[in-house]
Amino acid sequence: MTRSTTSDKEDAQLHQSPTAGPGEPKASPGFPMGPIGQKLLVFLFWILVWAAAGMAVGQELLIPGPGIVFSRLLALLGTKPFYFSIFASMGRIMLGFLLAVVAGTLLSVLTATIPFFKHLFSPLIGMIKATPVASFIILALVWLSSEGVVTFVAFLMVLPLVWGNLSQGIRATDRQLLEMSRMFRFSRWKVVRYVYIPSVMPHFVSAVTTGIGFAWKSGIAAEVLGTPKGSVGQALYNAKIYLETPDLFAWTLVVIILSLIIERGVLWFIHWTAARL
Amino acid sequence: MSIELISIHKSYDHQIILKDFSLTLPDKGIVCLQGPSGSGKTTLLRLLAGLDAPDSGEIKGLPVSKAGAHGPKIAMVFQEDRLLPSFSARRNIAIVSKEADPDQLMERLGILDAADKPVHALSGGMQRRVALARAMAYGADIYLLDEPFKGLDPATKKRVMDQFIPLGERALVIVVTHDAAEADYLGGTTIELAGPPLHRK
Repeated sequence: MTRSTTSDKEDAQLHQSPTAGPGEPKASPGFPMGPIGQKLLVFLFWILVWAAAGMAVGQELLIPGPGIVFSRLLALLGTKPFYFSIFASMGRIMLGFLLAVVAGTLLSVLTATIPFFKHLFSPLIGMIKATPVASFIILALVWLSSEGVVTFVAFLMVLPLVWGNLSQGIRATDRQLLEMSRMFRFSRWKVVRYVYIPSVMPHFVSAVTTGIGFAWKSGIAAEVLGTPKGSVGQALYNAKIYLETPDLFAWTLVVIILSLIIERGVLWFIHWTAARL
Repeated sequence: MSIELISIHKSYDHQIILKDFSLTLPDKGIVCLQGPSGSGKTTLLRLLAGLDAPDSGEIKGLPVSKAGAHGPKIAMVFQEDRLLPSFSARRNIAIVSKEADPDQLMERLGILDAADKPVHALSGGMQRRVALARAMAYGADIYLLDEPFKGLDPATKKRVMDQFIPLGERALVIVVTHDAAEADYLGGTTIELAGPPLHRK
């Protein structure tokens, strides 16, 4: 809700709902500060736990403390190959993710509308879901370049997720609303736009959120095994070989942050698009 | 274009709802369906809407079991409002008709203040009136209204009924109601459906 245009009606609405909406972060009881202060405090707490663990172990090789990891990260941030690796990995992984979202969406529509395809594809999807990521990676390394494997593996991990969630969303669509749309002679597009999409949306968002994490985890695993030149996975692999645990931590931190940023961006994009359909 | 139902049988889950039921309906005017719960009022509406087909018997003057495909335009107000929950009241009404003026209809039913709010945020009585406004916007040959005025306070009920009475001059308006006073106020003919199923399989 924006306050830029404050007509009387909007004011009335604002007064009716003085509490924060479900989407807005709110300080929980017991925290005497705003949501940002609360987040900062939680963040600081875990950094302290990390530092304490590092000091207790006393071995940089096992658990490097936050200080050395952040200084390593800063050093990395000043090098060109760092950015090259990040963007190369991100490109490959997100390509697999996007292809999976598109393919999974099409597949879910296909299997929801034509039962034959549901019977045909269900065992295949089940098999993909049950197969260890490592098996796919090793097999795909035989077929594809090590760069291609990353995209392929991210695709395979995300596809069943998107398909499963969307199928569930389509199945959960309110039959009473479908009946209503039939009575009022909705066009096919109207049924999709006004009945199916609102019903499927939460499932789609959940698939995308989980999917981005899946894509990164599996994609990086594929890079560690395939070590394409100039990639995050290769950097992790080198950290392992040279026992550079601070590097491992620094690169991992980068992956976590990137994954979170991309997740936010993609969710924003989904809502932006949905609002404009 | 009068509608004829000829010895209709209909049962759900092995429970007979309508048995050898025959009825002739005029092509316009208000018809109130009364009868206790389980007497088949909603079933009758669903058969007329083409949402269900009779087990046996015949319905003349309507496209059978092909809801909305062709034939007369039927506007239905379901017992559940069946609105699109995340869309505004105005959008819910506008979506069924390009010609109708949603704001004018909402004004007439006293819900214009709620026009921009998503319907899931509205009170039950307001949602009911959005569903009624949607049916009016659709502009049909046949209106099938399943307990349309339920949950409205007396003054609102009267205001809303006044909007539907004129529709009987050019369309068939079938109203399911439990309330004899409601039927009296609406005028037209009243059809009593027999009591709860004496006949279970």
